[in-house]
Amino acid sequence: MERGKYEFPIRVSHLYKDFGDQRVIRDISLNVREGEVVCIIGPSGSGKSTFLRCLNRLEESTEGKIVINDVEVTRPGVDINNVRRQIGMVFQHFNLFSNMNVLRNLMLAPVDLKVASVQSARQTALAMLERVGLSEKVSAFPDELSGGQKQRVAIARALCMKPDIMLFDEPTSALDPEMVGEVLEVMKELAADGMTMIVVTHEMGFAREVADRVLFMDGGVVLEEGTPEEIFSHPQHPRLCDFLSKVL
Amino acid sequence: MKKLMTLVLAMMLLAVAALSLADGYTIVTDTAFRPFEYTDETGALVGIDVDILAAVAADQGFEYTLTALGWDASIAACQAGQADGMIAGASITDARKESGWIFSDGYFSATQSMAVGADAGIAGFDDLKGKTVAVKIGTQGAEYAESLKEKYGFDIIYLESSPDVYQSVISGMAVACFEDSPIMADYIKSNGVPMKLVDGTANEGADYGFAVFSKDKQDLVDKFNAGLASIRANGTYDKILAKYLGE
Amino acid sequence: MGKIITVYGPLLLQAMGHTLLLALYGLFFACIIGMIVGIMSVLRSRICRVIAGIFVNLIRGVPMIVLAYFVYFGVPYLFNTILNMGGVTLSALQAGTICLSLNCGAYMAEIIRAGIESVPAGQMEAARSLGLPYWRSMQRVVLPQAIRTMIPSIINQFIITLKDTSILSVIGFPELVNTAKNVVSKTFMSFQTWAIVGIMYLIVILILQQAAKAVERRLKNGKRKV
Repeated sequence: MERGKYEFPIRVSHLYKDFGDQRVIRDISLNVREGEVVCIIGPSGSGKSTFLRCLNRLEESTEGKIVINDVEVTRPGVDINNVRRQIGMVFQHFNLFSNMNVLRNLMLAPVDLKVASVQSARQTALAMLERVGLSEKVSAFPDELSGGQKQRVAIARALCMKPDIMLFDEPTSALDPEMVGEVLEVMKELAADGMTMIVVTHEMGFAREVADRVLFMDGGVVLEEGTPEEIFSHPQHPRLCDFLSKVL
Repeated sequence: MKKLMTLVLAMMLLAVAALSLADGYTIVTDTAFRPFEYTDETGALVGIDVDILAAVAADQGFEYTLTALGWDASIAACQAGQADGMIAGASITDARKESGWIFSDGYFSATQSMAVGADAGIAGFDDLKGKTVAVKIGTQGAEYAESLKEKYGFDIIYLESSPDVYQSVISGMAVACFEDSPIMADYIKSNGVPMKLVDGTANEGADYGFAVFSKDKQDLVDKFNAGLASIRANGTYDKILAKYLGE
Repeated sequence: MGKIITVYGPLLLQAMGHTLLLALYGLFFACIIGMIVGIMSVLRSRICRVIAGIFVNLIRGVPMIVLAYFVYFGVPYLFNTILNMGGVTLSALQAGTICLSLNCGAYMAEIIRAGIESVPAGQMEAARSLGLPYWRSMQRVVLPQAIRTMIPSIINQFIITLKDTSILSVIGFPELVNTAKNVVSKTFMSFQTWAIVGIMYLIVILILQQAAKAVERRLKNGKRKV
């Protein structure tokens, strides 16, 4: 997929998600522009992660429409595997494939899905590893890496599929504080390169510095939305004020 | 926990007491060897052996308990000293006497022969070539089959009870079986199963005897012999045979 | 004691051979059955999970000796006598293999299910999020990890299956226990015969357990399996 092909790679309208009787996402609509970095903040249980996972259908939404790169992914019969190849996802707990080394982790999907030849996939993998600063770990196994290293490898793995969109689900929440920085650095560079990103995070500093737009979610609803300046310096909604007072 | 342990211990002591208080001899027999021993519709253990033993014991004035353990289990129990003797349609043979069986006088005569499935198409030993034959472990039927095995080229499988043996033939697993002729005849008649005895396949046969496995049980054998002579003389023996065989 | 070894030794060894052969056949088919049923029990399709569950509970809920009688005597009786379809026969080996395969297969299925479920859900999620289809993800990521955890349990199951072959003595299969009963009926040396048979099983099983430990060690050290 060429960058810049879709003005709004992500278009969500009136999304709802229920877990049994519980409504965890309530009428969320969001259009993300190409190259935009959107950060979603909010208390635990607000539905932030669930919302993110609905975008690549790791969770099935109950109602509403999601359109990725002009493909309506919520339509039944859509080839979701194909859509997922255009979206990279980075998880809170890294989820590196423990039965293979770093290089294989990176090469598995591109080679298996035949989106690249073995040589070209290897080249891309090495390039991505270089980009996240872990070239020397090419033959290491996941259990030999620190948390920060694992997450950087995870980012590299997602990038090997050359996605248009990157989704980050609390990427630094499981990291020891001293490793948070190295991961945020990589993410900042990605943003600077013009990647379309949605980041669910508790790192307010990152949101303030890098985001084009910040969404505050609570109780499954977007209570306030705006630029980082607006959200952090001039919060309006009482719950947002309350939240910020606790985390900042 | 302590209460439970005490209860278990008490139960165990009671069981041991019951066993040692059990008066008289412990006699064992086969489970299904009609008409010599079998269970009737009410679940009671009946048969020629059962009645003969009862008559002999009454005549000689001794007490006993009779348990149906199964054929090879009975032999094992007597051997181990857990039972005193067995009455189970056991053929008196020299081979067995040499192996330590001590027999009473014979009380019934029987041959072993071959029975086949009605549709198996076996008319004689020659038709057994390459086929499978079923027998019961440790019986004269098994001995007989083993003596013919090499010559006629068949395989033998060993099952634990007579019904299992017949079932194998009926279901087609085996084409034939070797067992005591009167037992097979009785089974075929009473159950109307598609099996038949093959003429001309009977061996010399032997007498059935009550058996013990140790010289210290000789007194029991002597009592049996005395009782047997008695019931033959006074007509009880004939009545028993008529009851199960006469019709 | 000597007589048993010299006269019946070869027969008993042959019977042990039959025992091992039967156990191997049984285990082979059990692995296949176990794989299929085990994977069915973790699929998203509810029907698959229910069928798998019924199979496992049915087989595990019945003592193997009942299954043996059922397969060997009952099934042909059903076909030949009740349904009058005639000509359905199973040799003791066939019936024994079916019985062992079903029994061991049900336990294998549980081992495999547990193995698959022990792989963190995130592994499958990460694979799917890259665009890999379900079966590819299973094949490349989930199953390789699952198998590593399952191997000790599988070897253990083989040992249990080996001992369970003794149950098949009741259908006349010439394995070690059936043959031992025969030897006892001819020699009347219960104690010696059963002692020897016990030792034979012991030796074979000890060897298997050592092999199991070696495999486990190999997995721990060279655990780089891709």
